[in-house]
Amino acid sequence: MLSYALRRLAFALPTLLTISVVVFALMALAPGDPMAQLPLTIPAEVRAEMRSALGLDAPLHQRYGMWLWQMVVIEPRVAIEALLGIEGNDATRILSWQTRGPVFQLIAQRLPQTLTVLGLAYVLGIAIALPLGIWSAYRHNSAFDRVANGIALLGVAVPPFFSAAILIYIFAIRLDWVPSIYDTTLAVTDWSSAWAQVRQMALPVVVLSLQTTAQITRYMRAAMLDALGQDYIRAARAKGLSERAVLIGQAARNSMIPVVSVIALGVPQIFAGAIITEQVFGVNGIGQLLITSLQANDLPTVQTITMLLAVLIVLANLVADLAYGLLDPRVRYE
Amino acid sequence: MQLHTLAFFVAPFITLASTVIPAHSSDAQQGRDGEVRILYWQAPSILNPYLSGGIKDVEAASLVLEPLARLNPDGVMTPWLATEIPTLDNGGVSADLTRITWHLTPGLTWSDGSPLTARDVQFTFQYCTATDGACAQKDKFRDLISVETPDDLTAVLQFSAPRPYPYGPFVGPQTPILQAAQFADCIGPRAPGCTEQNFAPIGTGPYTVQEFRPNDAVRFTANPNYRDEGKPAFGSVMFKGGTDANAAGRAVLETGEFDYAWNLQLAPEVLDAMAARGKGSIITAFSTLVERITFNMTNPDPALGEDRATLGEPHPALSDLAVRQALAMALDRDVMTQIGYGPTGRTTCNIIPAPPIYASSANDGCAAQDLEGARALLSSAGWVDSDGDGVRQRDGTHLRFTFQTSTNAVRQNFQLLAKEWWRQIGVATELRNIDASVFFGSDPSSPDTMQKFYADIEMYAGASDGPDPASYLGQWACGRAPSPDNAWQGSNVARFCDPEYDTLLDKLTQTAGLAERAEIARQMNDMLVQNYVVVPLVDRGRVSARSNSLAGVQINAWDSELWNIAEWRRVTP
Repeated sequence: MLSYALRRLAFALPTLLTISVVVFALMALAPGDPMAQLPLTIPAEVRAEMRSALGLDAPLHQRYGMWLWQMVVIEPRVAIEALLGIEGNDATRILSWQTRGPVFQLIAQRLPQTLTVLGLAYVLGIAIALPLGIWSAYRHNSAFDRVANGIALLGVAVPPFFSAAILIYIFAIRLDWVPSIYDTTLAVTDWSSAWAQVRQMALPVVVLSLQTTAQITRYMRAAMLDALGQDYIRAARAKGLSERAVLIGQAARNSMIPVVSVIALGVPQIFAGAIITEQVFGVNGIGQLLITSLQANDLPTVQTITMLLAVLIVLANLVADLAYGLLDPRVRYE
Repeated sequence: MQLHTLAFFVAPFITLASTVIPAHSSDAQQGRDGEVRILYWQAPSILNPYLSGGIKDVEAASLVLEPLARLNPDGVMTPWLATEIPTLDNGGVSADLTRITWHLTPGLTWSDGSPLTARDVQFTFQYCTATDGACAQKDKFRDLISVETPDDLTAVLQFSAPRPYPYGPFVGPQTPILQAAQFADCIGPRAPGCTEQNFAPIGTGPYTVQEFRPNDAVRFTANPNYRDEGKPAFGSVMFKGGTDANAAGRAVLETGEFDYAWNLQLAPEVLDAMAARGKGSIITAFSTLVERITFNMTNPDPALGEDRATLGEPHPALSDLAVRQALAMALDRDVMTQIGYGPTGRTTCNIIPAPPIYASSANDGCAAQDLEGARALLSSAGWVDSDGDGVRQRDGTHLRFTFQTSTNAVRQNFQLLAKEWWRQIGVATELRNIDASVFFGSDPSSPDTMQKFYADIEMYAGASDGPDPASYLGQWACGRAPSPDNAWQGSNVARFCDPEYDTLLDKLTQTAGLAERAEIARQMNDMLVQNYVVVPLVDRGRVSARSNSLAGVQINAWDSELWNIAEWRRVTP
């Protein structure tokens, strides 16, 4: 299994390299100007000078080479040095065009809120979706199944900007229970600040977990229905196993295989942030960083985040493949 | 939970030195009102206005960094770190107009306690004009050749040519004074790399940076060394960025989570509904931001190849004054203002609507719609619909135009209104809208930029940078027409070319004295408007919201909106 994993990783390298070329070229060749957001009162000559200071004058292949070098050599070195407490040298890190600060520093600043809000929403969503899907399939066509199905469809159909607006109207404006805007500078130091953190996370987490629950419930239910119709379930029941053992030990375990890959492939999405939900509530995580950088044509930031996501997706695929082996003894790696 | 570091993903944090100093006991008054919460839906990216120029960044930095003089809400210069505004009369400006002498107020200190000296003023000049520094405000320092410091409190600015309006550098929030000691190693190409300095500049203002999270939020704390005893009343500022104008308005006017929300460009009915909840009020201020329609005086026909939209190729229809005038007459600017901006806009007939001394009265009454007159004008100029297709023509040229602008709900409404009115006078219009970052970007390889103007008519907003309109009016100089020779960079997007206008511009750049300058400026404004080079539509105000418990706010469209934050205080509504 280890050699399989290593082989897969080795195969991933050319894939990632190709992705990096595509990501860089797409962004660099797309129309747009990092100076577009400046007031019109700043004259063109000054803009041109600022553009050239960003390195936009250099040929494309040179910019790509520099970026790749910074990405795979300089940034890891800076990170290692920081961890070991070595005094940093003057290496040019990937600098954001908009903030002039290192892109990785920006990402590190954004990750906590993205991971807490999205991660919690994801875990919560899965925790609700799995039992919901299993029970819906078991009580196929019952009232419970129909209600659960209805909620799932609603969750898939209602976009987050709409559900967020409704929740804000009810819970922030009308009832005044929770804030509508997330304070990223809030530091949890005591019970009252912890309570403030819970309150400000409530709405975004609910909006996001509704989406996760909806999607995963539907996968789980479909896979479970499939499994319940199999001969081995009838055999298990004929053997006299309890319904509980049949449901959890046999049907659920087998139907987890497709669901696990859906869940694993959703994990990189947590790191990508939720562009709309973050924007609505001002969570200002990775998603908001990505969209504001796109709007400002801050190419180094956009390219770096996109590339990191590509890496995570490749890794998540690998993890999903390895997880099959744990769930299904027939799957063997060589 | 606030995880401060994620070991597996860490790039080192540059510690934002949180130099929080406990409140002085002698200063019991400062900070008495706790925290004020400000929401800018565009988050500040950097706190050094010399490296950004974005309004959000300039205004966030204005809590910390201060200039020698500011503009008050009426557009009048007010001494800030200086003792008085230098003029010809008080001897601060030399008779040959090449030298201006500023005197710093004695006893001012930086927030770290060190004294503010003329050396800092000199350093700021060197910082912005250093080669390869990519300073966004370089234009403000144009022709400034040296800053001398005869003593600690006197800065003498020497220009290479007479400057009748010498208040470019160090006036207004774009060009504040930087601390020489802090930025000494950040000159020229090293400027962008100075993350620590750019994220937490040391200033003389009422606040200091406690924590800066780029594109997200800033925490400021009161400057313990601030010059005014007992100010600011708020001990800390929570400056949140992000979300959108709608959410920002809601957070002040509906939920009351924030005290101040900036730049609420929302439909008038949306704002009214929010304000009706009674938690806060909408405040507006006007300066010179004018939404306008510009006609292309050159031919954008793709068949012309290299010569497309260049000065040598006059527009077959729009070079006729009668056509431009008829198009303008067909517009009902009052209706446009009401629909698009409500109380936050005013119909205007001038490209320079303020300050009052510069506003021409020669164009009053332009705003009335006159469809009949427009039709008559076109007919008398020979533009008639001879083939009965509803579109007028002359010598084989049809009045069919492409009208482009940036993607923006209000602008698209305006486009539809204009299209319908123009249809009624026999003009066919094709509408286009282009993403703002492309339209306002000046990428010479894109065919869709405002400057390239590969269309007949376009709409955008522009403003004068400060109350003196000289450089703004200079945008219409013949030599500043965009063309392939200057990589399509140039402010004269209309390609208006009139030697008489250029002569007036020369005269303006040599005339001192406010009244004389205003006279010339009004004349130039009238030339642009009466030649229908531009059709001013709406004088757009700045719109913000403040909560009812916040007092002392004086919204300012000439300077930073937060210019007088030291005076802000909490009241019971």
